[in-house]
This record gives sequence, structure tokens and C-alpha cells, in this order.
Amino acid sequence: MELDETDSELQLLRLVRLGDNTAQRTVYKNYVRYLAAVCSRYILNDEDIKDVLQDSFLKIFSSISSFDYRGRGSLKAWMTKVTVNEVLKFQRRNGRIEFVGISENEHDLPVDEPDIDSLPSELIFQMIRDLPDGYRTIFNLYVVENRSHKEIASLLGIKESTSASQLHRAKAMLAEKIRLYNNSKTISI
Amino acid sequence: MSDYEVDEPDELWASIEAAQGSDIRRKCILVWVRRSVAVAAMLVAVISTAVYLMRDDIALPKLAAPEMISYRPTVPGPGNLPLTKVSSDRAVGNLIRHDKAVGLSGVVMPQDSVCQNDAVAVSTVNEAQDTVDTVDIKTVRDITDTAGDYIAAVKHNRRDNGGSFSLSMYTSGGTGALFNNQSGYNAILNSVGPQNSQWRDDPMLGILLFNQGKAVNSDIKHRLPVRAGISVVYNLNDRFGIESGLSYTNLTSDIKEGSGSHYYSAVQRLHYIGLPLNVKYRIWSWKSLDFYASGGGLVEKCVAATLDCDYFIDNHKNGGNDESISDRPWQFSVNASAGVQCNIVKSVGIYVEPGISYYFDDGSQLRTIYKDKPLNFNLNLGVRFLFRSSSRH
Repeated sequence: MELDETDSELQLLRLVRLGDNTAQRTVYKNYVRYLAAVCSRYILNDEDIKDVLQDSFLKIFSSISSFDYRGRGSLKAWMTKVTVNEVLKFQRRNGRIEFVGISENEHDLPVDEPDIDSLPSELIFQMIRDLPDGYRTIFNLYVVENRSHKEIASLLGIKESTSASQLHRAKAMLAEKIRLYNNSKTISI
Repeated sequence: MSDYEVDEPDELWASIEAAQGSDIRRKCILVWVRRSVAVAAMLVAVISTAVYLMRDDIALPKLAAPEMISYRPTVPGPGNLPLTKVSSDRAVGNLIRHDKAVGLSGVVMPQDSVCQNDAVAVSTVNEAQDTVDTVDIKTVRDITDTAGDYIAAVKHNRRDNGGSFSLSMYTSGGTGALFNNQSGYNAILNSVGPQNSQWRDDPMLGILLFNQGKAVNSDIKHRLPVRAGISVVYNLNDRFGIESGLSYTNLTSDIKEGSGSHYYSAVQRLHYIGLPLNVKYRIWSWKSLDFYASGGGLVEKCVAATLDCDYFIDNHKNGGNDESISDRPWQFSVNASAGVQCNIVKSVGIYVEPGISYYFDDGSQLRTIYKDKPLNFNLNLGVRFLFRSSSRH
């Protein structure tokens, strides 16, 4: 079954490479909801999300010949990477993100890992979106996209230490939000 | 979290398609430029090969003397001789006496013939059509949401794509293809000095007379056959197709007969309308290239034939005449070829098709390139348009 699906995806890719419109639309339909979520974690404005998604798909279709298929999931990973790059490009176009400086003391504050298992995905998604721009971008890149601080630093043109401290701050802020949520839930019960 | 999804933005696909449209137009120009360069390079390679091959002399079998001249202009009989002029000139008088022998014995024909072939003939034949792009993508558009379903639909469509048509237009041409030189014999009779002005009315006779006692050659140079046509392929299935159509072929030969200074020069033009019938088989496809083999036959009928003659006595043009040739033979041939087609877009492809053809003797007295060289290598170049049979999709 898995072989069949891999085979199907490969054939689909072959048609996309030939510029087949229906194949492109199939790829679009299969991944647009996921990629829309990826964009939405970084960008808040709906129109901006649409623009970035459009650019991402155009980029995906035009550079699909450079994509090397390595089994199931590789297409999704590659498309996500292209989309995130488009997001960062958009952010660069629209002015530098403010990375709020934080004190050394704050940096050393321990972050209690909150219990997130009981939280619905939608809520976490919304909490991430509520983070300030700088925190949100770095949190997404580090935690969701599994990028290293070194990569993030070069992508955003910042120091590695800035990336680390922004992440630390984002985590602390998220932990606080989750703690508040859990408390409110406990109270309501 | 990593698989979290949200609704797609409204009208996103429509705007992607719109943006792609303008993008594709830009790219199309680039692709066209690239492909044009590729085709030009291919043509240069093909022409270079042809030129190289034409340099090689290929000996032809000895030809029997009676077949030597493709078509001979009317030879005036002795009764038409300008006797008053002849009697006033002793030299010419001698000539006329010789002429009586010569004229009545018919046209002087060389006995020993040596044939030379200057070129490999290049002609064209119809060719077949491949079907890799006959999958009608439109029919499966919008009916599937998953890749698997879509592919299945495409596969099904491919299997069932018999009945599509394609139309092709092709042409080819060139210069000098085959050159024959046949030497005549030395007549015992003495030659006489030229009296050009005496022979204005009957230059052909003059040539015959003045050439008595001289080596007489018959040179026939066949020009490259030029064929243009239009053909339609009916695809039986994904691989096999039957092709037919209509072709026009022009065979032109330059004929020069006589000695070095007294000769006639003629251009023989034969026009054929042909009906090809070929079976083609798609071997494999790679990207936008289709490789295929084709075999079949061609029936042609000569529909017009002319001979334009110019007469030269002592290297001076001495009149000429144009005649229609009454012989209008049928020409049958069989051919086999291999081809490659580059599909520029889904419905238009450029093809190059080297092949080999054998032309059967048409049983006429006409001298053609096919008679001198029945086995021909040929090269087709053409553009093929694909039309889909709407009833099947």
C-alpha cells in the first residue's frame, strides 16, 4: 500500500514537472491546508498569508525539477521549507522584525516545561500566533521546523545568541500562557 | 501540532493559476528560443552529414545504352533540311551527306557507359505519429482529489486513447543528387566546321551533325527530390498508428547531351501526386521526445512532365523549345524509417526521420533518380499537429 502511494506521488511529481495543470492542482489540494497553517504560525494578516502562499506554490511548481524525491514525507518537508523561506522573504520585505533585547538575568530564568499533552492543537496554534513577531518567528523555526540557532541566525541576519535568548523568552511566555490556561481550567472545574 | 491544518485562503488557487499564466508566457518564449537553437543545431548536423555523404562517389551499375536518354527532343527528318543553304556551302554539303546516314540511323547512342554517382539521394517519405501526448488531461481535470486517483485516471485514459488523429506537414529538398556521365563513341565520319547560323531552324539536327566523329556524352544530373505533403495518423492504440495522406513530389533532372561544344541542355521536370500508407510504432518516449519506427508504401502518379531544351552549337545558344512529355507513369515504393519527434507543445511537434526507400521500376522510358538509384536513403523533416478525436474523449 505504501509502495503504491509512493509510486503515485512519484508519478504525480513527474506530471507536475511536465507542467501538468491537474497534477499541480492535486499537489495544491493535498498540501494547501497544511502550508496555510505553516504560514499562519508566522504571519497574522490573512491577505499576507494568501500572498505568501501564492508565492510559495509558484516557487514550488517552478523549482520542482530541483527537488529530489526521497520517499514519503520528503515532498511535504521540501514544500514546507520552500514556504518558510517565502515567509522569511516576506518578513524581510516588510521591515526588520524587532527582536526585543532581554537582560542576562531574565535569560537565566528557568522555564518550567508545562504539560501540553492535554491542550488542543488549535489552542497551541493560537498561543503561538499571539507571541510577539520576533519570538514567534524564532520559536517556529526552532521548535516546529527544527532549525538550529546557527541556521536561524543566518536566515534572519541576527546573532546566534539573540536567537537563543528570543527562543528562551518565547518559551517562557508560552509556558506562562499555558499555565494560565491550565489554571483557568482548574478553576472552572 | 506538526500536522495542524487550517482552511485555505479564498480564491488562492485561482490567483496561483493567474500568476502562473503570465509566468508561463515568459517561460514559453525562453523555451522556444532554447528549442529553436536545438533544432538549428540538429539541422546543421543533418546537413553536414548529407554534404559529407554527397562527396563520396558511389558507382552505379552499367546502364544499357537504349535507356541512356530520358527523353529526347523531336529530331527532324531529312525532309526538313534547309537544302538551299546546304547547297551553297560545301562543308555543310558534306555534312548533309553524312547526316543522311546519321539521321536515319537514329540518335547516336554511346555504347560504353560509365556512371558516376555524385551524391546520396535524399528524399522524403511520410512518417508516422507517436501518441505519448495524446492523453487528454482535460478529461480527468477536477475529478480527483488524491494523487492515486488521478494517476489511475491518466493510466486509464492512456490505454484508451485509440482513435486520436494527428496531422503532419513535411517537406525536404536540396540540390544536385545524382550525376551520370556516359561517353559516346567516335564516329568514323569526318567532322565539319560549325556554321551556326545555318541551323537556327533545326538546332538539334545541327548538334547531331556537328558531333559526327566526336565523342558524345550524355550527362544526367538528378536534383534532389523535393517532396511536401500532409498526412494524418489514426492511432489504433497507445503504440500503433496508421498514417495516410497526400504528397507532392518534384523530380528534376538536368540533361546535357552532345560533345563539348555542340550539345543540347535540358531540364526534365516530373510532378507526382502520391498516396502514402504507413504503419507506425512508438518505441519509447523520453521527456518531450518520442522515438518511433515506421514502415509502409507509397503510390505516386506522374501528373505533369515537361522538358525544357536549349540547343548549343559551338557553345552558342541556338534556340530552344519546351515540350510536354506524354509518358506519365505510376511509381511504387516501399519504405522503412525511424524517427524522433520533439513535442514543442502538446499538440505540435517537430520531427526528423531518417529512412530507407526502395523504388520499383516504373516501366517507362523516363530517366529518374529512382530508376538510376532505386534504393534511397532519405531524411524527412516536418511539423506535426495533433488533433484529438472528440468522439472518443
